[in-house]
Formats: sequence, structure tokens, C-alpha cells
Amino acid sequence: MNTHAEDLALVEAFKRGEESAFTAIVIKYREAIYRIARRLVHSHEDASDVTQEVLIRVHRALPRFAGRAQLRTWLFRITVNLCLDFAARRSRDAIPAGQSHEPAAHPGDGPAEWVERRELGEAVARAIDALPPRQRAMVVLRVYQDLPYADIARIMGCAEGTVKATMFAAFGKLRTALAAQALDGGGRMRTGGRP
Amino acid sequence: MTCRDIQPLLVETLSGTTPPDQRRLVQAHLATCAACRADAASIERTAGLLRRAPEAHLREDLWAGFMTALEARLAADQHRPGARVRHWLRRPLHAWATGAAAAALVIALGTALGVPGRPRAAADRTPDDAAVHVMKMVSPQVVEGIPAMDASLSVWKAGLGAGGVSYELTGGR
Repeated sequence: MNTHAEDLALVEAFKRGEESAFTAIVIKYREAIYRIARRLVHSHEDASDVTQEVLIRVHRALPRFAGRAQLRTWLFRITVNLCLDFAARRSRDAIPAGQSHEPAAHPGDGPAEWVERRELGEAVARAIDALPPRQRAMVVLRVYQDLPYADIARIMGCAEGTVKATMFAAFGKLRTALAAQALDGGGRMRTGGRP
Repeated sequence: MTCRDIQPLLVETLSGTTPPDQRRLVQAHLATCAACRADAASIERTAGLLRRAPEAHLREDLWAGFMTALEARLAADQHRPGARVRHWLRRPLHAWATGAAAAALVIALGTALGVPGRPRAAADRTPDDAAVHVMKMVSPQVVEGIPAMDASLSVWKAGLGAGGVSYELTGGR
């Protein structure tokens, strides 16, 4: 059974009253929703709150889900809309230090590599954060969820051509921002990153 | 294809999964265009940096606490005022029944309030007069649907827990 068919089966089971089908949907998609939210609203607490709010709205609306769109696309659309609303309400002057992207420890990473990975994570987060909200959402959906442009267009409620043009503009800004932060091609700070 | 056509495709091709035919098209153009090759290299470097940026670390106990909090919020959500009625109304059959009941209510109100030019005072009106008057105002299709509207009204009342209402259409569930 492919993912779409599996999702439809879960939705139908939920409509028949099987609450466990909703739990299965939550377990399947919670991490993707959280990761999108984390990239768009930054802090763990806010991303966790947004993820819960998405799932509560899904629980309310699932009886009316007709299956014309993929469940994943529908979930991500709710996620992005909530994140954009949330971000619009928040003051977004800067990402608090140490809160943005604390990377997981990789086996074999020494302290220097860990610091380097953290610096890269923060530099990329700052560059993405400087984009206008909709550009930011499109970049996150493309680069971190690997969604095709057609799906991104459905999620963002625009034409595929708009996604293409917006992504091209967004990449131009990211390139400039990352160059300004003096990252070399390997993701290391070229100068002044560390004492 | 011209450089102008290729440029928007470069980001799509170099930032994630792309249909193979589109990838071939871009590769064919890059083989003959040094300027686009330079753009492609720059975009590829940017995409590489974005992908190499580590995902935020997820705490091991994140999902256990998350599920507990979600269950509590869902339980609270189901007990909020009007939640049962809204949940009931979301079922397509119930929504139709509610719509039909609303239509019946509008007709009933129209009858009760009367229309201009009526020859007799309200006190003199009988229910049959009102029915005849309504029949003149509605199409034959609506007249045929009146028994179904009555049944829908019954379903609607029963769903809201009104006492003493027959609920035969739903098998009494």
C-alpha cells in the first residue's frame, strides 16, 4: 500500500470512529510537522505548541477531509499557515543565541567539529530567517522536506510558476546572506568565526 | 531553451528531487553555456550549505511528553462549549438535515409573520389558511420536499438531545 492509500485508509477508519487511526496519523507526521515548525518559528517550545495546534485542528477537520488532496499536503498547508500567523504575531528581530539550532552529537565528532556544525546551523538559520515569510516557507518545504514544486504550490496556494520564480529569488538572497556570513563551500567560517 | 528559461529550473534541479526529463534538459543546456554553469555551481553550493546545516536535536523524551499533552488538549477540546453540536454538524448527513431544517424554519417564520395584502387580520387566520398561502409561494419541488424536511427536523432535534422526539431515521442510535 502506498503512502497516499495508507493515509486515506487511516482517514476512513477515523471517520468510522476509530480514534487509534488518528493516533497513527499523529505518529506518522508529528516529526515532519515539528521540523517544519522548528525552522519557521525557531524555539522548541513554540514549534511544539504549533505542532499540537496543527494536530488539534486536524482532529476537528478530519471528518470533512474529502481526500482530493494528499493528507501530507493538507497537513503541511495547515502547518505553514499556522507558522506564518504565529511569526506575524511575534517580534522577529533576532534568533536568541543558543536556542536556534543545537545540533545532535554525531558519533566521532570532536568539540571543534560540533562547534563548526553549530555555527553552520546558526548561520543558515539566520540566512533563512532574513527571507520574507512565504519565501522562507517554500525554502524549508523544498530543502528540508524535499517536496516537489507542484506540492509546494498546493501548500502555499499559488501557481507552480510562482514557486519557481520565488525559489530563484530566495536562493539569490540566501547565497548573498551566506557569503556575507563568510561561509566557505564546506560550511566553515572563513574568518573571525572562532578565536 | 534559453538561459532565461533555464534559470528558474536550476534551483529546482539542484535543490532536491526533480523529474529525470527536466534534469536532462538542464544538463543539456549546461553542457553548452558557461554562464549558466557558473550560476548552477553557485546555486549548488548554496543548496549544499543549506542541506549540511544540521537539524535541531530532538530530546529523547520529546514525544512521550508531547503525546500526553496532546491527549489532554484533545480531551479539553471535545468538552468545550458547543463542541458536541459542532462535531455532530460536521457529518455530511447531519449538515444536510440541518440545512433542510433551517429551510423549514424560514418557511414557518414566513408564514407566521405573514405577507402584505392579506385580506384578513392575523387573529382570524387558521393553520390551513397559512398552509394554502405558503403553497402559493413555493415551487412544486419544494412542496414535494416538505415531508423530507419534517423528517430532517426530527433528526436534527434528536441529535441535539431534545426529549420526546422520535429518531426513527437513524435507528435510535
